Amino acid sequence: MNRNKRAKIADNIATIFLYIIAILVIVLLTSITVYLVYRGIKSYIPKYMSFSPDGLGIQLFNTLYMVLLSIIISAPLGICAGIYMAEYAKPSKLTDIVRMSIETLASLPSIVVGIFGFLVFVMLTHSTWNMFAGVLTLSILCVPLLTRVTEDGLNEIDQSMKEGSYALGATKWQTIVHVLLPAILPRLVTGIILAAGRGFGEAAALIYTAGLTSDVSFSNWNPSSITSPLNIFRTSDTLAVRIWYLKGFAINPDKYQIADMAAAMLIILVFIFNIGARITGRVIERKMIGSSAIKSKKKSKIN
Amino acid sequence: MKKTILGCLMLVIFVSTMFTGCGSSSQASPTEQTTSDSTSATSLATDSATDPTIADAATSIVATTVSTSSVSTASASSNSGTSNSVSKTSTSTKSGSSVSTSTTQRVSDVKSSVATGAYLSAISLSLSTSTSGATIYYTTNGSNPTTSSTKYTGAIHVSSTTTVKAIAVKSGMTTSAVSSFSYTFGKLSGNITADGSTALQPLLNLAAPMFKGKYSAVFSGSVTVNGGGSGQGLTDVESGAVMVGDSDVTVAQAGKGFSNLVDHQICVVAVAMVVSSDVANHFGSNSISMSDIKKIYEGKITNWKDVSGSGSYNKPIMVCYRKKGSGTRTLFETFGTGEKFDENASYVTNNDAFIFTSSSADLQSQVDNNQGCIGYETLPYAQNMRKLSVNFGSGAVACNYSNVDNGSYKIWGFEHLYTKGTPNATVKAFINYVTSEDFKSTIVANGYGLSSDVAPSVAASHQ
Amino acid sequence: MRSKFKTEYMGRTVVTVVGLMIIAITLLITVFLVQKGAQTFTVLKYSVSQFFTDTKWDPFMSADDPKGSVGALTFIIGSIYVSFLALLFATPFAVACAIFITEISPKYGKKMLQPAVEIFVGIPSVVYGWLGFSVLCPFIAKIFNMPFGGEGLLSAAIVLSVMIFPTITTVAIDSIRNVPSEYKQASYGLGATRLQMIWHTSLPAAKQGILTGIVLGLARAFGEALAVSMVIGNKITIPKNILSRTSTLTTIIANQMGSAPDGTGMADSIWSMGLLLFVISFLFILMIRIIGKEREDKGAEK
Repeated sequence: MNRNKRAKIADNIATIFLYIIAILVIVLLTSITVYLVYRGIKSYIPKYMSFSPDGLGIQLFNTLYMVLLSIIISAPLGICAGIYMAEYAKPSKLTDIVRMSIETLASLPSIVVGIFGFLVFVMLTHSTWNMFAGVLTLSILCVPLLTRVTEDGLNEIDQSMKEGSYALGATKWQTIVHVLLPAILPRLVTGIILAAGRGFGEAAALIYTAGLTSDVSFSNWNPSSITSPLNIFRTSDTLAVRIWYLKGFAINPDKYQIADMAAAMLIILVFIFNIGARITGRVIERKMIGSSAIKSKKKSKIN
Repeated sequence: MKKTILGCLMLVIFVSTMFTGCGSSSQASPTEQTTSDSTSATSLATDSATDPTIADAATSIVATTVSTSSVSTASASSNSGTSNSVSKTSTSTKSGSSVSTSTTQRVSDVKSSVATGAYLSAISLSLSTSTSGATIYYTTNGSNPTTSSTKYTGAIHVSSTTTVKAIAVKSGMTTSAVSSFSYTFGKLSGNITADGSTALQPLLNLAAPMFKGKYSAVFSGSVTVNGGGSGQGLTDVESGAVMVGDSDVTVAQAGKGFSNLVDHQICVVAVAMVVSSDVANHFGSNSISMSDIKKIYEGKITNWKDVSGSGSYNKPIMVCYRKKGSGTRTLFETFGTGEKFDENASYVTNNDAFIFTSSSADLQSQVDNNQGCIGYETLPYAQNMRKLSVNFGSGAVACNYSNVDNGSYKIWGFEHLYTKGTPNATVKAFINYVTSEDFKSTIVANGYGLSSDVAPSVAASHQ
Repeated sequence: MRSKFKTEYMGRTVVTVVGLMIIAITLLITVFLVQKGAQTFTVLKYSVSQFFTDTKWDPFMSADDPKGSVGALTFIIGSIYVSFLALLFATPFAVACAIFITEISPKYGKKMLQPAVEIFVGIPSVVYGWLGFSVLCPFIAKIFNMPFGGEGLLSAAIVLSVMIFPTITTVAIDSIRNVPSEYKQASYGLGATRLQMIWHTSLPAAKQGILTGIVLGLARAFGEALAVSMVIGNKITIPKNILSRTSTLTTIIANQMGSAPDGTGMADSIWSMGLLLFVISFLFILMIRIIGKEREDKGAEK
């Protein structure tokens, strides 16, 4: 009986211990986010949101613009690669190599991708830091993510859906495009939004490709002019890069306040996208499958 | 909208420069030729201030080789350390002095009725100097004027891109510094990219919007200025990554590997010894000797109580240093301690008291936020920091540009803009703008010095 | 009919090309990094053994500097110290959270803790670095009474541990969940308490997965550049104690890249360090595959 009792006490202590840790983690997360947002709000003066060199408006625009462009480039590439891996690649040495490549790309430190981007897109082309180099580097970071999401999604689809499509006389490609991809659309959308979230926070890959400063005037919207915000061959710094710059190179006396604001803005952006990803995923799923199908899916998952 | 703003600006400048006095041109023989190029001033006016006392002040200053004080007509804010920082509304008048013997006055700078900038239609400008009786000679081909250049007799008409350089001479007085005015006509295409010295970066960051404003009629590109250190500036301009490389050191000082780089000196920057506020409070008005600074960076003195002048402040010294490519550090090593700092030496790597700072901004935040720190910082960054006077062997010398000019403060260097070969019209316009007479007040107001004010022999030793 | 086949082939070609493009990109990265990183040894003739064993990093920045040495050992040691220390701090918390989510309280765990962990992942690394610099470093300076600011190994390890914690947790959750419920039932059947079941059954069974998570976390810690650089002090020296300032492979790249003329010892040695990072992350992937294979083999045995 003694041993049992000891075991029971140990079990209770462990349970309490684990509860404490779980609560600590939640508290840590909430306090980090709340504190950062609080500091951002505390240091807010309208000047910081302006679209001038003093403010963060330019950086916010750059961040959204660059992430949008990189998703436009990486989404098709990633989805196609995922389709290849899931549907067309036969188990062979070649496929293994492709898989290894994807994993290598996925786990490369972003600073290494950044210096590669610097080498190829800036040094070898003899150009200065520009947004396009940054966008391409970001795409290199996003493609493996999207490939994995697509491949996993396609692999998890019920085979019966595929077979049903074939039975109706569709070719493989038609099946993929008209049946399978729509089936995994919620996952794809979630994956894309999460990749965008990663792009927001990326700085190490951008400091040597897209540069540390921006010089734009928002009255000029002609994409071919170098001071236009739309021009993709100008230097552009994002919010994350700006924080790094403010900490290490800026001398204005309010640099810490601006950095606080930038950090708060980034966190809020990431939150919005994260929650948005979940909600969008759920909404699309509901629309495509219907709520009763979701309920039965949930049931089968639990079992 | 832009044109009306430009028009008003021109009107204001025109009206304000009308008030700065017109000297009559009379025969005078020069007593000395100045050899510095383009930048100089003995009296300054801010863009908007119309100070009638300048003329009086200029003619009443007698320069001596020893005096180091600068007379300000408005109060210059001084930190409880020992530096003077010139605020935007004050004017300081100094006279350059030749090292040899005389205490001759210097003719005040030539002023133009039309400021440097971009213009769309032909302009007609008049040159003047506040020193009465001085003769003005000018060139329009960019070369430095001498007494054999064209004498100024009446309005000069300019209708194409020209740089007008002028001097004023008067017998019995030192020739004025060369004043440079650049007028640009016709569109400037392309963009301007610059990077390099972080010491020069604040000035260029100011110059960029000012240049874009003044030249908005002809220039619609972007001007981007980045940091990275003098080494990177030279590298990037050499490789063509940027058009202008900013550097605190000359190509010769930086080492080989650079070919065909053209130097444009634009100003002077001094390096101050900055300390944390607790140290500064204990020093009061005492100075720190250069030999002590040397020993601190050699690791031989580790506590402030062993430094003379510190009032026996018992606190470990935290020594801040920059990375090898830093122009500030190179200036400190070359003209301060005279020896290279070896950050791989064991007394540095094993000692937590030696703190590495990756940039000027980083050093500033280290020194300001901690106690017992010492570091070296260029004056533009150090304007609001606590600085110590340095004793190089013959008395305490405060870190300011008068002491740089007469050679008593030794830790300083010229700021250079390097271009690969001759710059194109757009870059040339920018360089002309920052070396023009009209930009000088910005230079002085932000912690830099004018290279024309430096005594020639002192300048020669720092090339 | 014809067009159906045409689109079929076109689709197939496009997708195959893209799939192979991935190999091409990876190959490109490898080739460029190898070529650039090897220059230090092939063109500038520094010795490879010096790179890995010498702690003195002092390569030439301009043509008339002495050749100096390219000892990267300082940075390698710095990277190792900071990553393993971060792992040490993060793993207990990560495994504990994983256990909590899967065993102790699946309902609330899934609803509250798991989303919380996922949001942790989304916070950008510069924000962690900024928080570390503005909050953690002064705090550590105060506790340990450091007159020169709290940047150092400890701050960097704490910041990194918060960053890799979600990685390890997510993988651990997946692997504990994948433990067949028969094991658990068997364990309960033998009269084990929950703790005993977890400790003696679930965790050992999920060992490979948790190990994979740990290696992934380690890889992430090794590769983090900016957040670490903000809080680690960037002094080029081997850390003496846990509070010392030091540098890692990633921070020296982030701080010095391009700061010296292309072709000098300093620039080339930084490329070599980039190559080293690339090789290390590749090794981590191999390690994960080996662990995964072991699991497969064990499973196949059954």
